[in-house]
Amino acid sequence: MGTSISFYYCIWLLLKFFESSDIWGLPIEFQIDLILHPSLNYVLPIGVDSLSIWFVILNHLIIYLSLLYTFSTQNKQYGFIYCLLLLQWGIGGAFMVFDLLGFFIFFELTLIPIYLLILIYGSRERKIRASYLISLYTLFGSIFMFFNIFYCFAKFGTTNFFVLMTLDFAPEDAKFLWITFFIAFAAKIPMIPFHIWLPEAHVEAPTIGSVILAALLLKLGTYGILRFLLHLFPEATLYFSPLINVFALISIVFTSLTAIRQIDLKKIIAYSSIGHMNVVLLGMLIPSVESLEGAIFQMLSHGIIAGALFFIVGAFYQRYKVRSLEYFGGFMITAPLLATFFLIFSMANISFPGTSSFIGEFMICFGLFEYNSFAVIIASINMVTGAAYTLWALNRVNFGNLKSQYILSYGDVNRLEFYIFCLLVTLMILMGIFPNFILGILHSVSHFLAFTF
Amino acid sequence: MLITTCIALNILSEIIVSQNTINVECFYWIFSNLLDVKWIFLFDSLTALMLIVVSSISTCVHIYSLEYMQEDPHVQRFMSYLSFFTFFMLILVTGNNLLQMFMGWEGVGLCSYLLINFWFHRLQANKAALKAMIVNRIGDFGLALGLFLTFTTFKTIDYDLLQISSTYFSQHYLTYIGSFSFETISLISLLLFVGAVGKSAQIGLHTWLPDAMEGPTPVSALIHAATMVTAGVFLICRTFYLFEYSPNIGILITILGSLTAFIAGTIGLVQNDLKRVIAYSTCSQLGYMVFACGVSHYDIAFYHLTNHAFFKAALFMGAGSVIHALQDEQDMRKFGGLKNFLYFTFIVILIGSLSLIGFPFLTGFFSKDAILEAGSSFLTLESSFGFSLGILGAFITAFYSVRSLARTFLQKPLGFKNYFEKSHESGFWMNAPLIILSIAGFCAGYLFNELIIGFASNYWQTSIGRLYDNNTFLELENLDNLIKLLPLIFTFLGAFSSFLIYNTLNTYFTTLFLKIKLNKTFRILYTFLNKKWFFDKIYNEWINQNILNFGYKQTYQKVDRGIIEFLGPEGLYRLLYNITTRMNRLPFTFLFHYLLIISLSFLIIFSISYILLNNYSLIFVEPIAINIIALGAFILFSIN
Repeated sequence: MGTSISFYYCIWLLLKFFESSDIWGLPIEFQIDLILHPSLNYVLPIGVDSLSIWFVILNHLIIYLSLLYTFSTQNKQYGFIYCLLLLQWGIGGAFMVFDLLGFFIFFELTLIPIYLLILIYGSRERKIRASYLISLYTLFGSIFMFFNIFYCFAKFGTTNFFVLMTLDFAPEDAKFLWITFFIAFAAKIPMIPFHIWLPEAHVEAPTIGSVILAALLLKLGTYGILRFLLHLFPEATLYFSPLINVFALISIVFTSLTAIRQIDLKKIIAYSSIGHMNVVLLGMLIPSVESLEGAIFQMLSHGIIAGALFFIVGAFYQRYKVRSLEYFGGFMITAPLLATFFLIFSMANISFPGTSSFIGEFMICFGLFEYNSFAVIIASINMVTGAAYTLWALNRVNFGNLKSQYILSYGDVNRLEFYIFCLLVTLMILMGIFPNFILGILHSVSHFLAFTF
Repeated sequence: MLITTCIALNILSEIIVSQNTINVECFYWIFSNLLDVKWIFLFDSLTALMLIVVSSISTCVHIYSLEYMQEDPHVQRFMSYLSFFTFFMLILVTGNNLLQMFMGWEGVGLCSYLLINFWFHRLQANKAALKAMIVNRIGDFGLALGLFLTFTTFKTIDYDLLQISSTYFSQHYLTYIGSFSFETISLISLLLFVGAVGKSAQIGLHTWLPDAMEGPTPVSALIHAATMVTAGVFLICRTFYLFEYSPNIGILITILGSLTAFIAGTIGLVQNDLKRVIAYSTCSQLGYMVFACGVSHYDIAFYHLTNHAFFKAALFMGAGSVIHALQDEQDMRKFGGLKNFLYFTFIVILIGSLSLIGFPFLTGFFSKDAILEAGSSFLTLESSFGFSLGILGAFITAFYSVRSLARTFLQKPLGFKNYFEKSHESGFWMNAPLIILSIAGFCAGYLFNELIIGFASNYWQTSIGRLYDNNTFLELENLDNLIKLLPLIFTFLGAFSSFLIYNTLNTYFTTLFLKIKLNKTFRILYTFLNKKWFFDKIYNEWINQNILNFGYKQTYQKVDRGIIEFLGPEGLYRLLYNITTRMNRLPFTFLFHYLLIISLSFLIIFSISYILLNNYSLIFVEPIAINIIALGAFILFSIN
């Protein structure tokens, strides 16, 4: 109930944004300064601007759908629901806070509930290892970020985003802060060599855990880069972007090649989301309006598509109690609607024109080609390999002979799943053929970023 | 569908009469800085003609499949896929910019995948569908890069703006790594051509087209003969101005097109599956079209596209009728003598085949002859190469067409008696489209000849043209008569020899051919052709297998499970485990030993960090370090 209220409140915020979307520069709307304690001399600015509004909405949408899904499938697991609400709070806070320390706190806060979700509600023995990995990698990055924030505080006396925006950093400082921040975010994106926690965590997590992990938690890394690294250290961004681009390209090619040979459905999607997030990363580190807007758009679209794909895998799992591709087959006969939804979202995953990811990826490539055409050429290999693994999985699940001996329960989508998928499909197609309602709001922030570079 | 066809006809007449282009502007698609793309539907001469092809053949196929797929439980799914395909094809044709065209381009690829895969319980269909989609994606990879490069160079992707500004970029160079420089327009047209190679099944990426025959026959007629595979040629005609300014790519296109026409024909000679023979002939005809584009005769290429669509659809649907009549048997070795059973289908396939081989005054004759003449009118090496291969191709086309005709309809019946007894002519809904298409295949060429490639026709306006340097219409009109007749002579030669060998009336030539067949060298040649020039073998066993192995052995086993695990979690775990086991072995018994270790390690760590990071962020650490040093010293002394 509370979630739905906050969801509607978000939409109201969005409408407010449409009214004021013609403001250029960096409009900060609805800002509140939380004064924690008068003696601390520490103000926590919380607000929503044109960059974060979409992520806040995505957060509320996904958590709202997850809660609905939880209510219908699990009976009265209060711990699970507390974890979800805690996640919503943490992620929402990380998207809304304009302070390094505050961001750090919220960033770390999301680790606890997802850790618990995997550890308690996962299904196999291996979940212990998965939760160990996720916390290890996140904390590994956090050490750097923590050190970094204290450095910032010691040197500049504040961690407030707006104050830091007004400062000119010395080049060495900027580079040092940039790279230490980046390691924390790279573990979250995730990028080679910090990526192996993601497939493990996805495979072991329950359906909702995977949905939130893919749709929201991965966005924290790229959002952090957009919010802090690009705003505060533009020169350092340009300095490091060739290095990071190389790593991102390696990630794209290697993960897509790896995904071809995986047989676990969740692992395939997990590897593909590593690839997509690295495409986002490629688009963010260059001063081009098209690719910045494309990167933000692709983050949103990946949130919807990956979330929906994990919902669908969850639906398969309910019917088979297994995720290995060997046991699937002929879903077009037993569950035509579910199979069709899987088809649609698989197409979205390979950035089929007309879906939202097409807009995102093509805008990134359009912008990037001018700066670094080799990167685009290598990233576009993903078009072929991505099609290979996605279609292979799709073909195994939807088509082929019906292997009825493995099916536990026959049945197409139930009503709730149908509504969830319909909502997500509608959003995705709408974003695919009429993306301007999102891009329109992003113009101001992307122009601002591209020209501060 | 019928309504769509009527509208398309209306548009065609509108464009012929009023001679203007129509832009229907809808709303913004993407608007971001310089990238502004709108949903605009463009109707000009090229679109109007292509619309006729797409909508009329699509209508025929819809009607045809009503009966053909009657007994299939998934008929709704089939019809919806077909309509979905038509939708995307119309988007492709009417798009005003490259991005919108790309949407249709990918969409028809998807629908092709779904329709090949329609009988999804068959493993072969699954494999063929996957192959079609993935090979097409390789082409799309090139096309997408072409799009990006176009945008980077021209800052626009609208056709009309590209056409206007292409002149100014003809001397524009891209430089890579110091010394390598390319003409930008050449690079763009090369990349676009890679897309066309994928979609139009030219040599190199052609392997998906014959395999795609696993799909239902109406699908083969609509997608893999008439409409989708011609999208590549359509793209080249659409962006002809880019190709006009890149003569080097023109050479490549000419060579590749004529090679396709020849190689696909030779493979078609030895296939035994009726549909595969027609598929290879489609591939070969597409080669002719691309060849015509290479010698800058886009109008002739497009003319052949239109004609080919009509007669090939008739041919495919006739073949479907045969297959339907014989309980879904496709192997020609089990056919024979069907002219007595399926007389109507025989006529349809006869018209289609004769039109295909370019029998005088049938549809195929006009366009194919024009292509070869255009090829000979250029006095360059590559076009004479293409011309000679094209003439050989004409011979081969005639040979395999008559071969399949004779084996299906004229020879002694070789199949099961049961099948022949049950064989029957199809019903009205299958025959009606056949009649329409065979009439079109009979006379469309004659009707459209003057309009499309006529000397004085002003049908094309600005939607197709060529540079003045490439203009050879005078040479075309004044060719030597012998050269003009050469294709025809080869065609008749091919048809006649094939007829002599495969008809059973006269056994002399048949036995002669049998003797040649048993010869060893011929057998090697036969195997080579029958294995499709080993394209599939090379792709599957050398390239794909290596990539798959790389994906498992290198990126997964060595990188993910190897290096990163070793440097990451697994290595950390092992390191800690080793350290603790070793610590356990040390002869520590008292508390002060541990205290000593703790204080010493603190001392070492802080002194190192103090030396290395000598800046004021660590100043607050200093007193603590001193305290610890003092504490350690105190403990040490107190023990002693």
